[in-house]
Amino acid sequence: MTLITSCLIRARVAAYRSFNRFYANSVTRTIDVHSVPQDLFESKAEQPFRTSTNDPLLHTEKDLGLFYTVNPEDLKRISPFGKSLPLQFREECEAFNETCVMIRQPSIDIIKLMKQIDWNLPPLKVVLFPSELGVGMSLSLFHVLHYGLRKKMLLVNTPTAAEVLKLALDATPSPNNELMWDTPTAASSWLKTFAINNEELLKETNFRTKFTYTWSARESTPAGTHLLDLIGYATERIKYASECVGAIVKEVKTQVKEKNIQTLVTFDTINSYYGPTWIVKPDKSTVKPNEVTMVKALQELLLPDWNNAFIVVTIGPKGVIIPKVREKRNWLVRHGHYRTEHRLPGVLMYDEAMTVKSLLRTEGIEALEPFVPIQVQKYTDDEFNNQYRYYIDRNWIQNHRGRDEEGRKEILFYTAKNPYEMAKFVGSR
Amino acid sequence: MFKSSFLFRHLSLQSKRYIHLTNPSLTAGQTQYHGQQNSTWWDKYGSHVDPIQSRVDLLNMDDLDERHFRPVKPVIPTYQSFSCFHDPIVSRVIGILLREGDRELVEELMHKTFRTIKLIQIGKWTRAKTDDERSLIECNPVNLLKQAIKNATPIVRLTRIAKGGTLYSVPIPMSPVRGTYTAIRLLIDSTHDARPHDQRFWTLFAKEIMDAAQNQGRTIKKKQEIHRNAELNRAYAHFKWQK
Repeated sequence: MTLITSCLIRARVAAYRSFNRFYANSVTRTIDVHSVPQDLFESKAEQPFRTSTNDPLLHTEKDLGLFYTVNPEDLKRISPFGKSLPLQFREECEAFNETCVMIRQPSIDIIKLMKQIDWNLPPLKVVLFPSELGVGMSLSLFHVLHYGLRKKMLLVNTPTAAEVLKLALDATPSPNNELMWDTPTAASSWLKTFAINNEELLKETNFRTKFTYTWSARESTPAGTHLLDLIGYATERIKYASECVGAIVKEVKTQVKEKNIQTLVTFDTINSYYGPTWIVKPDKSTVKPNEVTMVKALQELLLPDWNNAFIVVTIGPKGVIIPKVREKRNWLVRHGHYRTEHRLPGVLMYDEAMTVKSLLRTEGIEALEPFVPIQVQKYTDDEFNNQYRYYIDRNWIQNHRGRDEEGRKEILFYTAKNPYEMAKFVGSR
Repeated sequence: MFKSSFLFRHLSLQSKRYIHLTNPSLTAGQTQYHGQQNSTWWDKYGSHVDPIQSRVDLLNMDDLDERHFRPVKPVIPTYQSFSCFHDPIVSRVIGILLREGDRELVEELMHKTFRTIKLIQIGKWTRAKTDDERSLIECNPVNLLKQAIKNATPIVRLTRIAKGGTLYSVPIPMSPVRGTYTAIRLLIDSTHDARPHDQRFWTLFAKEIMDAAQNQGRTIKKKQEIHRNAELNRAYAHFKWQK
């Protein structure tokens, strides 16, 4: 029956075809989908998606949205333990056999600010905050760090600030102060990072301590010790590592001005310092972040009582970064069949608005003020196209349909130009 | 008053009848809402037109297509996708891995498996020096999966036939659908057996797929064992057609 009616419809069309010209406005017209003009993606294909200059000192706004290759030696120096870059990104870099970072607006803005400011004033704080989850703050921060390294600035870098607060088994009560908690392994890895970041600079400027540090009744470090020796001592005597972080901070804050070393202080996910921790005391109350020796020392870097420094800080999305205190109840999902109850990492679900106020909380804002907020946005069209072309260039998109215009449009539609979503989606295609 | 209460009761009965439709874990086929084929419930779709089943048909659909003017049958199963990345063999693997309707979880597992395969293969591809080496490396995870399934498909299986009061294991040819199912099942089972146990599922599954695509590994061993058993019972093969 269906066949007959369809034939009838066809036949009727054929019969009335001579009237089509007359009824031109009322008759439904057949449109070929492929004849509709598409946007001008093809014309942009000839333009390069990589910059010719791989040195971040020379990057300008002309390079926006383009990729630059990070020198592997620099990468090794900036993140010796691989913490400055997200794990997923590092895996892909290993497969591609190169580390390419996109030059984006926020990092260019920060570098511009660094060129403009008066270094005799108290340090300027720049706060990077996300417009969405997975928008590329850590990579922007990495670009800034790379600039600082090439400019021969002193890097005081805390790549994963939240990590200390999550390692509950690492925490031990401080030998000197009953109220404080030490985190020996985290502190020693911070010290090693600091030493590797600034090894050349510290040797060149002959950076020696000004104060005497007494660790215990027998052990002390006299004034005039080289900073690298101090760090070497603390990483061996791991018990004193977290207090040594305080010592390093103190030395840096006092001597940076007179030695005329420009300092770049960076924290990734600073808002974890203004929330709860996972460390629990014997009386089952939770330790606050400023009761952890290392965190308290690092927080002093944010005070405005020194100069010749520049502070860049990122704040992470709430549910992921601020360690939530674990409860027994959290093991159970009450309504398993409602998808809304699932809280998967990396899925775009928010507890509150993605604003500085709700992410940093009142304590964080009070501690950081005054600061320059910079929002990190999703990809623009050009950036999306460049990223897409980079993936194709690295042979990462394997599905042959993904290389067509149609596949590109589907990726665009599905990921909505969110960098992390794009990496996730393209990862399995 | 009486009439309205009657109506209300009727409505409540009706809602009770369809109460299972509120269960979100049911798929369209399980709800029985549309009825099943060759049943009286399906007869209401007698005058309906078949739906569009593929993306190509949708893009090439004429404006004078009769689906514009006439009622259309529902698309069952509902997870049929119009995505250009959709692949029926992948969705078959997902369907076999599925537990308690948690399709999102299984999709994530498959994505991570494919990503792991790609990370390994493209790592090799970028480090290969000549083009000849590169052309030998298959990077597409879906192609590798297809090759693995092809290699792991047994061509015979054993069935049990009673004859003279005893059960005989009789080798019979495997149908292609069942063969595909068995191959995927073998892949998954050998992944569950795989060591070390502290590795993630997607890591082990990726390894199994890559092994089976090269005709190696435990999955292929399992297939060979099926063949060996069939070979052992070759003497009973004629029971298939002799009663």
